[in-house]
Amino acid sequence: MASGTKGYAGKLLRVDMTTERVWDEPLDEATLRAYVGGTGLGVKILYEEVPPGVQWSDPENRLILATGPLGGTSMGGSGSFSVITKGALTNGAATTQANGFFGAFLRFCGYEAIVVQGAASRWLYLHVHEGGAELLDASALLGKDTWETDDAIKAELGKSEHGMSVFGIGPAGENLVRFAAIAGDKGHAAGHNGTGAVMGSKKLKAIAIDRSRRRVAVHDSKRLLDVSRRLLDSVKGGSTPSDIYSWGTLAMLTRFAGAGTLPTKNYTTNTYIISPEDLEKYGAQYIREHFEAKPNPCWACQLHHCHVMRITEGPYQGEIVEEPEYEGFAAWGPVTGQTQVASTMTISNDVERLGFETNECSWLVSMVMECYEKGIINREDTDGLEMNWGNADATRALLRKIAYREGFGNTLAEGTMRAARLIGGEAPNLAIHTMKGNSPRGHDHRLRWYELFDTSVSSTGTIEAGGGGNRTRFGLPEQGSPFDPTDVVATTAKVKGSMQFQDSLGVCFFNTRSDLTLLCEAVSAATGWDFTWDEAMQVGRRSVNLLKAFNLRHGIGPELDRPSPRYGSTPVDGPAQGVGIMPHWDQMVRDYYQQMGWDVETSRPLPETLRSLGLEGVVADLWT
Amino acid sequence: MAKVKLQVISWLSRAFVATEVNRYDVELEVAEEETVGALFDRLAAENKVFADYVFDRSTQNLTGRVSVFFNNRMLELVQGLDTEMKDGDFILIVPAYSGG
Repeated sequence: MASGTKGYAGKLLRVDMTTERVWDEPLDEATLRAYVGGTGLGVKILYEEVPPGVQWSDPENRLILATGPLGGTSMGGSGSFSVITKGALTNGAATTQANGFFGAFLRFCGYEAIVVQGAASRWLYLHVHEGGAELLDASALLGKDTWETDDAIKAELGKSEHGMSVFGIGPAGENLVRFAAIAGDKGHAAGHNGTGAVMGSKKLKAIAIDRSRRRVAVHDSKRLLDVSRRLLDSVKGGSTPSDIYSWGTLAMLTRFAGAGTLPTKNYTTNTYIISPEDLEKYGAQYIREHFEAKPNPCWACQLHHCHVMRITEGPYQGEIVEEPEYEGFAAWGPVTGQTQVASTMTISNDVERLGFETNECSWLVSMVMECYEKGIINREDTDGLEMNWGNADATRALLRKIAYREGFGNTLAEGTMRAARLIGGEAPNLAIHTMKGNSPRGHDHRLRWYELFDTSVSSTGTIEAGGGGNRTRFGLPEQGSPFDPTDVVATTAKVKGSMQFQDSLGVCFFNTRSDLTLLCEAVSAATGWDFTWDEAMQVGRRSVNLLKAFNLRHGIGPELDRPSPRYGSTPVDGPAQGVGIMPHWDQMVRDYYQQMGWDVETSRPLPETLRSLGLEGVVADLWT
Repeated sequence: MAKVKLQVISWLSRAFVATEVNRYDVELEVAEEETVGALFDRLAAENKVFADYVFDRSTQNLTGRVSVFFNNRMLELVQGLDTEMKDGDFILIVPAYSGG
């Protein structure tokens, strides 16, 4: 039964892996208005259905995949969805997003979200179609990587390449690697905080959704199309075409190399030593021209962003890869000391196909390389692999060992923080992670204090306050002061909630550029609600406070709102040499809690904060 | 007078040249001890794209859409827009970006 709310498909698809049962559940309008969809809806379900004491790998954990009211509409990039669960790296809240087609196809089949519970006794995959859904035997898919799984399911169900969207796990998820991702549509992943390990713990290999001809009715399609066009014009950049429209994130690596701000060799330097000729090959134009790029756009996306390519030079010639995002280029370029672009692209693709999350994976490998360089580990420890900076063959071999938990790979499969502790010695002092156990994105955050602070205090262990658009709309000065602790705290606190709202809509960040005003107009056009900027921030803040309350109830307290020693270290060279954040840290955290309306000692959201967001029930959970 | 070098990376270089280049280098004459803010104000007065993306004349501040480096140091870690220039100084402007 659908909710009847305009702009919504209106149902949840419930899946119990233990009993191998699926059923529909209606969504009421009050819930949709308060949580909107995507991350908001998923966080509500996580908080209500996963009580304290449940571990990430327990059957009682929920794996929620949710889109929102703009999913599958005329909005550019509206195939996006969120994954919400209790994650394997932090054993706390996880929210992460992927683009592609999955979110749109889910809505065309009549669902806003899929909620998976229980754990099966055999490997299964979920097939969703116009008539409902069923669990099917996945034994023939075991051991297949994410691309092979995609192809095999489409072949089994008689679907063409674009006749279905498949998201699933590779060997990493099957083997419960703590940083396994859920990857799909050949080039996209919802990866942070071990979502793929959770999927593996439930013995759910993949979710495959038919491309239905149905569409979701919106309240005012003409107005929504107008907003879509205005957003596209904004992304195009008006008089000056932006890189994001022309190149996606492809132009960023050479730009940051020019500024000396790249994360390099596990944060040991900001100097990326590479010849001018090799650096030029990391440029957007070279890559698009020399690697036989074929566009592979997401649902309704007009950006010149995603491409499939063929490696045309170097030792891995002939391999078909997806064009990495900046994060992939950074991870398998400067972070790991690699200077050959073809190797970078090949390794990045291995990561996706084996089913890892690329940031965590690269900080892990770079930590191993630094340990190897410094003699903390040797060839005997690495099962014979020479883990020198930039050794592509050894990196590829190591990734396979991790995915299958073989030898040294079994230690590394626990993720950067835990692997460093298992290696011992100086390793924990070299490892880059938050103290919750998740690794940061692929920038050197020591030069970006907003992101370093946000990542460390976030409830998900990754960026939580990014993308707010116009600072003045939040009451902040137009120009930030990125090394001023006061401004960093104020910015983090005031902007928080914006990202959670955006991630509740089912539309791609690259297409909307965090324009909350236009996004509110889009929600109004889709649903018929008079949706305001203030209401959007309320929706986002509701998620932020639920995530915080969830973590506190699950044992993740303020003592973990810190970076690891290396993550919070002072740069030894580069444009911020000698300037570190840690002398300010304790005061920043207290100020942040205060500005968030949280208790400054325990970080508990105050009763009045919770009540202002309509979270009366959480008051009792935290304060009695 | 002093001469300083200005480099603009990426699409923003097209604020100065119409062709598809990803880097623009120019040598500019500035008064001795002229500040970076005063130079940017002049450039913004002459160039609408510079005013839109780099320096807001109405607030006399950066727009928040770029990162600026002064002699390979982040501008915020010297004296910001009040930094005084001398002969041979180097200013780099890069569009700001996060995520990806």
